[in-house]
Amino acid sequence: MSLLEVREVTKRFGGITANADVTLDVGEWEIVGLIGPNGAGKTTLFNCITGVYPINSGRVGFRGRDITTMKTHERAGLGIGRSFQNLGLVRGTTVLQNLITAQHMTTEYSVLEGVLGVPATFTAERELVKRADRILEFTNLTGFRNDVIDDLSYGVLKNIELAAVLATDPQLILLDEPSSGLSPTESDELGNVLLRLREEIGVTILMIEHHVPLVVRVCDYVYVLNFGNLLTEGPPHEIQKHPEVIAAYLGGAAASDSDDEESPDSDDEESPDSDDEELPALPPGYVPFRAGPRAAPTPKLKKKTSTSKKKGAR
Amino acid sequence: MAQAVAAPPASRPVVTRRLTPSRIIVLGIIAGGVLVYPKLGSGVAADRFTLAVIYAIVGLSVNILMGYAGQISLGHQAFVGVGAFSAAYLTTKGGLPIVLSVPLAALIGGLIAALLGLVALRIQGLYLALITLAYGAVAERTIFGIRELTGGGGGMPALRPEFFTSDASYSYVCLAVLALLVFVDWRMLRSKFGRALLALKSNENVAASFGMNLVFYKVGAFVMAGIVAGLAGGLLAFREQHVVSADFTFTLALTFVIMTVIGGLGNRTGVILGSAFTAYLPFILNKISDWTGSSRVIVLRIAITAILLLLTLTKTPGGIGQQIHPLTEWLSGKPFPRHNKGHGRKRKVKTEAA
Repeated sequence: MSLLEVREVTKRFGGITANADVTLDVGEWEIVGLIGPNGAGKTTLFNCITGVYPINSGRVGFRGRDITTMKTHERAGLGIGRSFQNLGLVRGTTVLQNLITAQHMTTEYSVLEGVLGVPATFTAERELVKRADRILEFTNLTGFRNDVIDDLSYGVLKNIELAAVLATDPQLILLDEPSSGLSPTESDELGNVLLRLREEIGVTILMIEHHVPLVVRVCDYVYVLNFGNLLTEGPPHEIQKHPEVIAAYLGGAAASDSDDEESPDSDDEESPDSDDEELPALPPGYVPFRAGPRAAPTPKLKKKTSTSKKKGAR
Repeated sequence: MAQAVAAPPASRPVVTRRLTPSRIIVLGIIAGGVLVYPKLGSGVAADRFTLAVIYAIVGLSVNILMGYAGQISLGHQAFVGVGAFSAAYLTTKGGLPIVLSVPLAALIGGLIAALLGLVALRIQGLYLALITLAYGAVAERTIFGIRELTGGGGGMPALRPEFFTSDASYSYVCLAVLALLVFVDWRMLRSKFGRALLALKSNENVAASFGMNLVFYKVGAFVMAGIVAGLAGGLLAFREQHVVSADFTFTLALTFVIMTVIGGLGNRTGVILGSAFTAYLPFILNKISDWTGSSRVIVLRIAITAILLLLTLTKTPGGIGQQIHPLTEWLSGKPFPRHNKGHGRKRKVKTEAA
């Protein structure tokens, strides 16, 4: 059974069909890529999955449960966390405060108790700070702990946003272009972080990503959207060579000389270096999911203390 | 390659909070001054002080909506008015003691505000501003005009009980309520509720992705603001001892919003000072006009408010709260932030990792 099931989801804005009968599956522990040119409807699909937009037809399921009509915060409560293209952080507050805010669902006291300053809330608040610190340590961001969000650079904020999503204690993370604003080296590092997240915390990831080397390196499976339709799907290495995908990214003409375009830089204009780009090595013992047997996840299921602590609150 | 995604900056000096003797002395002087002031002067001075305290409470209420939750309310005089009339009616006609009628007035204020909260779920920004404005205007013409409840144009008396008949003693009651609300406001901002409001203001979709129920918190913000405003209204009723509907006009709502903005949206201390200043301004101008012998000075009130508002919006968006930030930082036990441009919270030098 898939963790996330998207079945024939259609979303229309007036006369424009942003998603047409999109069907995709994300299995437990997988890292799945969602690629496609600008305007293909990737973010719209995220908004449909998280419930920001009501869908016109179709079905969204999570852990075998139909969540199509659920509200965004209810879906978040089930364990669907997401990042945003324009940063899902609370402006005007510090990094630490953001991580505490993100722990909203695991904050155990009621709103009234908090407002009245019941003694137990002070202890609960200290716990939240401790957990935020653990997450900062895990994501290597401790140095930014007391900085105000508005003062930090976009690249750093992207990482803080990821930390905030982790703080919501998600089972499935939807990442909207996590590598945007990062240098190539930094996005390699991001790849390591994502793989580490799965191994140590045990999350499943569905990510929109333009940086093809990153997709090829970390994704087990890739879906390609184009003009709201699912163009193709498959393991990243096959997708990379798929003539239609290349055509979608580079325009129709490119399809003919596709044999020159097999290198991973068939990305958009941004990737500066060409052809023989060396991909960083995968961590030892890493087995891509759909390529191998789908059964038991190889990595150790031991959850990092940083997030397992409050798991029971759900 | 060695550079991590987010290379953590080198170790940051840890800010220790210390309550040194000098801080205790300054805090003591401020607290003592506030406590002694109503006793020192005449009854009139204490009465003015009471008004300033009540304005500060209203400021906190407006701040919850505008400063924390990012909503707007141009109908705040309705909440305060409903609170005032409820308290007056419950005490004069219902025979309830002040300790019951004022909290009930607060609850009624919360209920009335909840209605607006439900509207705010559906519309935003300018349209919400218009609706709140219309709401205040309608309340003014309808609810405040019901003779049985408000005594019509003649107003409704609200006499203080024996304990608080003197202006000085009543100002201590108001001060106690303000102190309580400052505590509640502090805990609200530092707990689940306040954080949800800030997230809501920043971006509703982000707030929802953190699992926050938008409906609950939006309406909650209005209810909370309504309760505080109703409380202020109740206290105002017993200050005036006679509530007249003509006192609760749109101008008052505008004053409430402007004083909160001048004080600094989202800044508790600033809002309290800005509100108190606004309450005192007419009295100060009165004094000046007595000295100069010209009654025209009173007109300056609008001009001064306008200039302060313009200065706030263009120069210091944080209002008074931003101006006094170094002082409040120091008083809270942190070192005095020297050579700090703009907002005191900003870091002076970014320490980059090698």
